[in-house]
Amino acid sequence: MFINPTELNTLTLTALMVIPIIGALIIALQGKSENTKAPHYIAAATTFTVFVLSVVMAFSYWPYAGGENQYLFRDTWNWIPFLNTSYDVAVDGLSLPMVVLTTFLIFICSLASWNIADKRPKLYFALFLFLETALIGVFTSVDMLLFFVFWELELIPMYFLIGIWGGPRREYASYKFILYTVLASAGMFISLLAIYFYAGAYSFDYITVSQSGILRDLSMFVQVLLFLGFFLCFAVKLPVVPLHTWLPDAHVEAPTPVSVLLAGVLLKMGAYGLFRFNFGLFPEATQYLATLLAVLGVINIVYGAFLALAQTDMKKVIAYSSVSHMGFVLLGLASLNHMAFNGGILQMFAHGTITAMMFLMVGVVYDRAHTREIAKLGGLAQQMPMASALFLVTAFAAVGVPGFNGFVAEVLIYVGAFQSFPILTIIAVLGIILGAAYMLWLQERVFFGPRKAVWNGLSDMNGLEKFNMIACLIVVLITGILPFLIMDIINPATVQLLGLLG
Amino acid sequence: MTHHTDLVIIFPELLVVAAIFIATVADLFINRQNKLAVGYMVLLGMVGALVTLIGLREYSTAFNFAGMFEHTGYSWWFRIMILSGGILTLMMSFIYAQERHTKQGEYYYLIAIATLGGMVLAGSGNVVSLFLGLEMLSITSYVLVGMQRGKPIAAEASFKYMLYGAISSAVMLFGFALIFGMTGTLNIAEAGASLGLLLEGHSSMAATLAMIMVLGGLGYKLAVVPFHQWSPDVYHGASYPVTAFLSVVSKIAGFAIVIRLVDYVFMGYGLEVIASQWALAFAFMAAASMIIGNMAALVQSNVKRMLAYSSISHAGYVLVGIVAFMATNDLPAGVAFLDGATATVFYLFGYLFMNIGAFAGLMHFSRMVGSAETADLAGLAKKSPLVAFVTASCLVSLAGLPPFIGFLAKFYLFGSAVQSGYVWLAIIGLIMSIVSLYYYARVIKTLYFDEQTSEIRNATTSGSGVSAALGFSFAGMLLSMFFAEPIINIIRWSMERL
Repeated sequence: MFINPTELNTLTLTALMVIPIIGALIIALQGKSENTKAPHYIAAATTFTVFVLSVVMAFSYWPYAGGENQYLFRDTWNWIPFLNTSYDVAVDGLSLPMVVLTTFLIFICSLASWNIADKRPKLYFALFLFLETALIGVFTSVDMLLFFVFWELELIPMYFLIGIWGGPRREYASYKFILYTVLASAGMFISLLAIYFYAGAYSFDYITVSQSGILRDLSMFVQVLLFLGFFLCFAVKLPVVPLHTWLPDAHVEAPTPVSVLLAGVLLKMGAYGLFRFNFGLFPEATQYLATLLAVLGVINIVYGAFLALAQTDMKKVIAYSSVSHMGFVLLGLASLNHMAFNGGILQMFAHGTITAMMFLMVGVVYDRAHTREIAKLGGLAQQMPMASALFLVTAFAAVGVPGFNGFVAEVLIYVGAFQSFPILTIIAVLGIILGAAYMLWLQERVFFGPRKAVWNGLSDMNGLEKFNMIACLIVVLITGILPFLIMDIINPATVQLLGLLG
Repeated sequence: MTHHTDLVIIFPELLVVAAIFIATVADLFINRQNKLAVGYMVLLGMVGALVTLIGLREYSTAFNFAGMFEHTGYSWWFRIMILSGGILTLMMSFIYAQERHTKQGEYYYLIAIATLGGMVLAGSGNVVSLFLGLEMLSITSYVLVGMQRGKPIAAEASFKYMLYGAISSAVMLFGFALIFGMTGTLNIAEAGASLGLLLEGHSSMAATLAMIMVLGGLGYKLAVVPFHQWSPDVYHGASYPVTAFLSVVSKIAGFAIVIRLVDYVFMGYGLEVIASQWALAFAFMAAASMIIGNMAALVQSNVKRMLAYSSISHAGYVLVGIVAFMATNDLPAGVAFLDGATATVFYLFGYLFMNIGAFAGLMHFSRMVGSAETADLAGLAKKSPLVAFVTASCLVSLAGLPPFIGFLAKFYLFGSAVQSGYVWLAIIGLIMSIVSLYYYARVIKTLYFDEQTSEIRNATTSGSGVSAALGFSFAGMLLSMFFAEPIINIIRWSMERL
């Protein structure tokens, strides 16, 4: 059943992007009736198909991962040849985990949307599928202009998903989200033009430009400037403090499945872009700025954790915990060594899956209690034992208890980062302690404690919610107990990038 | 130069003329209820002309009527754009003309006459035919703006437009007179070349004055800052299709002349120094248009005024390409990946679809509620999801986001500016595009996010004409993004035959 990448590698990636579009079209062509469940089923079937295809692709890639050619699955078409830009998509060990993460979470989220999408389901699921295409495009584009196209494209469905199905301040949140992102991507745009004209690359092909060394001929000042152009764009997405303020707003206002995707996939776009484009294109500037990145990473870890501790809204706790956890990714990448690189990328995957579970659980609570105020909740464990148990498991995963994939990632990051920045790493350990504190405290205040009479009628999780949670949990546990499954794919890619960094 | 060629190269124009004649006569005999037939006659003629024109691509460069009209790759491509714009305008006009316009039959062939004026303008080889085409376009536009039933605001707009238009024509004409006086020729290419040499030598204040007068006059027609004050009121007062026509077809026709003048006067005679000085002046105009247009659009509560100001800013973007065109003069051959001229024309081509689409879509929605206030369009996306989708796509494209042509066109423009050394202009353009996202997104937000508050007065559809205009706009935006290469190749081919 596995695809041999050397024989049939061309259309797989394009299929991953085209199938959701076809699904969206089928949904759009449904009749006028708004109260049907048909869009739900079509979306679930479509996202499941894409997920299965991406898993098949991953397992087909696996045996060949250590080989010379990292880009085994690749698909190229002419777009505007005289500009040296083309439709060029490929996966290597860096993007493959992200693609699988995306397809998996989108599938879970399409199930988690079952009730939210009762309001205007056709539009909801069409946007949802459109988003999947854009996200896969971001993680697979090898052409930098194409990457930019997909990067901006992702905004449109996200803007609508937050703005129509979000909470009370949804318009403000969606505006803030789109303006922050577009403003920041202007930095990348200028850097792209500078690479094209100023550096004289006259090409948008990432592989050609990164291997030609043409950017290394520039003065360090210019390299740093171009690096910062890209970095601005990725830092907003990652999000790096102080550019993170769009995130709590977007998270709180977005409906549960969209929050899952925001934290699970969209934040990873920032880290992915940083790793691929900043590090891959400007290795010297990267070394020059590594300490700064590490400091920013540690600020993220500690500041995010402290803020998470102070929140009164469940979703905001998780939102700031994301800021903190993405700080680990930044610290890992900034450490510029093999182990920390692997840890950083694994942390991207791990955080994507664990935070998805967190947001799903918040959604479960909110759907029943209609509030996320921690002070109003309490003692829910008696009404919702299953939810309480699963939330506790999730909290353990988030804290980094061994057995879950977060543990492996954090250990790799700490050990790696300690070699490069011992003092910063020691400060960053504070993040783990605070993480344990806010997660367990959250669990304690929401589920344990005295039973409140208001919450007597609450029902426990339904079948679909259990399915979603358990599916995520299986992924978290498998990659936590058998990390080689994913490390074998990541490792060759990081080795290659380290070679570039010298 | 036989009479045979004379007729072949203007055959598309002749077809439009024939359609106008037939429609004019038929209009006399067709009763009030069936006036739509006049519109279809005109449409048929214009579509026929477009098909003929496309067939003329392989026809080699030809001049006739003693050089008054020329058929070059350049004039061919601009005539195609102008005619397409006229056809799309006519399509979206049917329903509006039936409801709003006092003289429905006349309305249709006035659109055709205005389009014809634009085509003559684009093909003119001589100052006389240039002026003839320009006035044919302008005078019909004044009438089109004014002919709405019971709308004092339309009469005011028409009057304002006419006054400004007449003054700008007079100024431009005086500039042409000066040029004629100095160069002794009315042929645009010859006069331009002589003028360029005069400018380069700094020997004549009159040459500078003439250039300023001509460009200023054109600036008024194009509504670029600082010659833009008339346009928001006029755009506001006119009906949607007419506003769309003015902001798209008139502008494309105007830029057809600007690009040619710039080419003839500044290019190819070793005039790099003087060209770069004028390029700087153009750059300031471009920056001012982008900044003022976008900033003013930001605070508009009326969609039509918003689109009016935004079209000032788009004229500014187009000027960025012209600046790049003038400044890339001294680049060694073969390096010009993103040449300014192609970027400019490519942008105009994309703008044609996205702006007409936006106007058609917003016309549909403001017809539904009988208001053009943004707030009154709340929640209408639910009522007509497909139109809302296309409208939103057009606005997204105008803001310069993918997956539509607006993204690539802006990328091309700003890229050409960077290549020619105008990085600051590209950065202003980029920042202003982000500002524009704010007000375009506000319209999308109102259509999709807000709860419907206004009562729907006109629940009937806007008819197949509007749907067709929207459909063509959408297809044009999407296809020119994904199949950019062949279109850019055609544009480059046509620019080589400027």
